[in-house]
Amino acid sequence: MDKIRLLLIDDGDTYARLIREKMPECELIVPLGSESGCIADGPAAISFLENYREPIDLVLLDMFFDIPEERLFPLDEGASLRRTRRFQGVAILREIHSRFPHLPVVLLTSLEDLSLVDAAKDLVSQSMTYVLDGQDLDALRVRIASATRRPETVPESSRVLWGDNAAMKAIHRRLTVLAKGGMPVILEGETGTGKSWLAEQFVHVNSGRSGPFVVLDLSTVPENLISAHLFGAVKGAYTGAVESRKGVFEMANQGTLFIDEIQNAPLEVQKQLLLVLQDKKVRPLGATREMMVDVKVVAASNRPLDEAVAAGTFRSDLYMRLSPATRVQIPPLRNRLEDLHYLSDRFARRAIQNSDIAQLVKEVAQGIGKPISDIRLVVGREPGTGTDNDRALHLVVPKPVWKMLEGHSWPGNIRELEMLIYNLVTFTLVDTIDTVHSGMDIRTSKLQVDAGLVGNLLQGARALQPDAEESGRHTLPGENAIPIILKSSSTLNDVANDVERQYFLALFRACRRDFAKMAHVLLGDSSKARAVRLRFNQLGLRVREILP
Amino acid sequence: MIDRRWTAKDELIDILLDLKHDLGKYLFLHLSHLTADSPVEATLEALRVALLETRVVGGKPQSAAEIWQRYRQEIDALNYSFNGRERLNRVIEDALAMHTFIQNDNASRPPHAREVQQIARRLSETISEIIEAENSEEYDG
Repeated sequence: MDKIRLLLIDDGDTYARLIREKMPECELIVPLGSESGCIADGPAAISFLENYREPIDLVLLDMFFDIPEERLFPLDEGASLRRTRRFQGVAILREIHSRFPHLPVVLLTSLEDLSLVDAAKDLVSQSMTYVLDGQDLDALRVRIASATRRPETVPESSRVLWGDNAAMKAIHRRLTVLAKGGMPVILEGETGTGKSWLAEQFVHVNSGRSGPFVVLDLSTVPENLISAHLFGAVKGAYTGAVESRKGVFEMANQGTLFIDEIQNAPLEVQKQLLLVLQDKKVRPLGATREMMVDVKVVAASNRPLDEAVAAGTFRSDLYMRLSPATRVQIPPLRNRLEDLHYLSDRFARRAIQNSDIAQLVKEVAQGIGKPISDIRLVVGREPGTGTDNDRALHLVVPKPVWKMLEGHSWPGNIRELEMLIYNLVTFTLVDTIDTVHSGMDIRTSKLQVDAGLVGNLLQGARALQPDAEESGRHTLPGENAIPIILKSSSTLNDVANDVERQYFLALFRACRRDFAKMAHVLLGDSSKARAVRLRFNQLGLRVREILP
Repeated sequence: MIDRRWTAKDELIDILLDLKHDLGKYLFLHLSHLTADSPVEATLEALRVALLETRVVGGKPQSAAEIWQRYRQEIDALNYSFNGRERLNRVIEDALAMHTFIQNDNASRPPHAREVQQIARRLSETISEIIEAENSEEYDG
C-alpha cells in the first residue's frame, strides 16, 4: 500500500519526530534545506505549495507558532501579537483554503484551545478541516485516515439514504469517524432533514456500543421536568414525583443518547449537562449519590448552535464541550435536488412495507394479472415502453410533473418528501384499482402518475407550510402594518421567535437601522436603544448581514 | 496590523492557553502511547523526552520545568489578581516536583507515566477553570 504523503507545517520538530518514529504508514515531504522535516511558517508554506509539483495527500498544520512577527500571517483585526502566534494555525489555514481549496488540512490542536467561537466556526466551515480532541497519536491516525480517504460511492448497505450530494458524502465520511469513540456529535439541520434517523441508524449502529439508543426530544418536555427526564429523580424529589424514575443518561448507559432540539434546554439545565459531559457522572434529583455513566451523546438542533451562543440562549462552554468540530450540518432537501429521484424511488420502495399499501399492491397485481414484489419510481418514460419483465410496479412521473417536484421548496425536507411519495403511491394504486374495477383491461405494470394528483399533494403541503413566495402574506391590520410570513414549526417558541425576528427586521429597516428610533417605536423611549439592540442580537439578527 | 493594546486579563488568558497548548503538544502526546504494562525502559525514555527535552528551540532543548517556570513568571509579571491563582501555583509545584523526581530519583523507583499524566491533566483542568471563570466574569459584566 502506498504511504500517505504528508506536508507538515510546524515551528518545532515534535510532530515530525513522532510521525517518523511512530507512524510508518506516513511519509513526510521534506522541503529542501529543512533539517526538522517540516516548514516553519505560513509564508514559507504557501511558497512551497505554489511551487511543489508532486502529489500531497494531506497537510498537517500546527496551531501555535512561536516565530518572529514578520513571519506571521495576520489573524484578526485587533489581535495581540501573542494571540496571533497562538492562533497562527487558523491564519495559515485561511490562506491555504483560499489558494488551494481542495487540499485536505488537519489542524493539530486541542478543542479546549478554541475559546473563541469565531475561530471554531472557521475550522469547521471547511469540509476537510479537523481538530484533534486531546493530543493522542491514535486520534491523529484516525484523522489522517479519514482525511485522505476518498470513497467514490457511499455504501448502500446502511439504512440511511445518502444519495449523490457532495455535502452528504462529506457527512458520511465525517460521521464514520465521529461515530466511534466517546466524543459527542452535533447534528444541525432544518426540521425533517433526518437528524434522528442519522443518529439512530448511522451513528449508533456504527458506534460499536452495546447499550441502547435512547431519545429525548426537549421540545416535547415541559421545561420544569427536563432535568428529571435527563438525569432521573427519586421518589418525592419534586411535586408529582410519586415514584423514582430513571433519567435518559442512565437508560442510555453503554449506548447512545439522542437529545433532540437541544437548543430548547434552559440555561440551568445546560449547566448540568455540561457537568455530566465533563465528569461522566449523573446525580438524579433528590439522590445523595452520583452514578457513573458511559454515554455517547448526539445532540440535534434545527438552528445553528453557534447562533444560539451568539444570541446568549446557549452556553458557550457547553457548546465547546459538545465540540463544534464534531458539528455536522445536514443540507435541506432544496439544496440536494440531485438526490430527489433517488430519494423518491427509495421511499416508493419502502412504501410497500406498509401493510395497507401492500394490500393495495396485491389488488393491483390481481387486476393486471402479474406478481408484484417491488415499487419503483421512474421519471420521464411513458408507460408501455421498454421491457416489462420484472416483478416491479413502475410509477412513471412525466417530466413536466417532475419539474413541479423539483420546483417545490420542500420546507418539510425529506420527511415531507417521504409523506408525499407515500400518498402518491397510495392514490395511484387506488386509482388503478378503481380503473380495473370499472371494467377496463389493464395489463401493464407501468402506471403513469397523474399531474393533478401531484399538484394537489404539493398544494396541500403549501397550505401546511407556507413560504414567502407561495403562501401570500398575512399582514397585521393598521396603518403601520408589517408583513409577517407565518411558518409552522415544531414548537410554539420557534414560531414566536420567527415572528418576532421578522418584526424586528422590518422595523430595523423602517427605522433606517437606527436602534434609538426602534426603541422609541417599541418602548416609547429612545434611550433604551441598548435593550433593543440586545434583543435584536438574541434573535440571531446581525446588523452587518442585513441589507438596507 | 497587529494591535498591541491588550488588557492584563487578555494577556493572562493567552498565557494560560499557551501553557495548555504546550502541555498537550509536548507532554500528553509524548506519553500517549505508553500503557500500564509498557516496559520501564520505554517509560523512562518517554518521560525523559517529555520532561527533560520537552521542547527544542533553536536546536537547544528546554525542559518542562523551564517552560512552566517561564509561564509562571509571565503570570507574576502581569500583576493581575484572579481566582484560582493559588491552586494554579500548587499544581505547577506538583508538576515541578514530578520533574525533579524524574530527573534525580528514577533509579530507585520505576516511574509511572500515568502519574505525570494525572498531574498534567490537573494542571490542564485548573487552567480551563480559570479561563472559564475569567470569561464568565467578562460575560456577566
